[in-house]
Amino acid sequence: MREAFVLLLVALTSTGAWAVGARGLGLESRALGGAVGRMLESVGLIVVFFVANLLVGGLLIVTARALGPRFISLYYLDDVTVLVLSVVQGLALQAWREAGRRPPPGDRPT
Amino acid sequence: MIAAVASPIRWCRLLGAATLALFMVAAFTPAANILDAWLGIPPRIEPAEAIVVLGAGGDTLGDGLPNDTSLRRAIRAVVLYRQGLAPLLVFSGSPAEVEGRVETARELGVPSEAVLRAPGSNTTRDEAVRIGGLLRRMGVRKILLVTEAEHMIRARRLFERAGLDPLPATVGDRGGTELSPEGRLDQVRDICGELLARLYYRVAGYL
Repeated sequence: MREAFVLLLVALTSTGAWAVGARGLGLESRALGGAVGRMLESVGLIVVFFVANLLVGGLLIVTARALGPRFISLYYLDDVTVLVLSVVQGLALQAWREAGRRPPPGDRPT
Repeated sequence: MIAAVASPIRWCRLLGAATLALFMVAAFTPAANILDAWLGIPPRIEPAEAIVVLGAGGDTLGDGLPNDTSLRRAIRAVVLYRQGLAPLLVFSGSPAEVEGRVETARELGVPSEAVLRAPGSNTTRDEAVRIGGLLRRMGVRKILLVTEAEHMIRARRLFERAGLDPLPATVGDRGGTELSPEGRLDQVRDICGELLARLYYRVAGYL
């Protein structure tokens, strides 16, 4: 029941967003496929950052345990902020990719 | 150059699609419940010589009580003690966590002479080595080991290696009862964390 409610809620707001985008903002529905592809790229980049953060964090903790006098728990990595900051990293890289693209020659300022 | 950049991006797109598919399966199907039941150990409650309660992160809150997981383990152990299943309760964890559990047990009617404090361990392996040595010297072999179902397989093997005969007294078993998407994601996070811990213990030669 709860699953159905959550999925229905997301379906309703997504449909609303599509209506606003297509009619209110004049966005082309054909471009939605490409946008979904970009969204999947962003999710993939977030996963890459998340795994990198876990691997580097684990390595740092194991090294600190071996070299330092104080015990550091690997459970430091079991913190939701690592995931949230990975989201920020992934979105920032994706935004940089978009902003860093050179415009076509015709669009360049003379 | 463009092809070299496009290829990792294509992989990112595939990774993103696979991640979203896994998220939907984990949150909106019973897959997590099935995986949890498959990876856990069912409880085996029998009379023993001691009840060993493993530490759970070492946190205590402002009121001096341990965190939720730690408290749940302690209460499970007190219930087992009050059912007459063993004459001795062993509390592990940080010094503050142990004191919080001892105080809780005392308030729930466990006499102080029935409680053994075993503070100072940082990992499950530390706990097995330290408590194993302590109990062997006291002539104790058969114990009821209190921890979560996911953690039990690793913990039981470590206590067996430490020369004890641990019976699983699992706590917080979610089994097939966890139905909310958020609860299932919590379950998946616990399972992934425990699988990584098992991998680390295997690579380090502890299991």
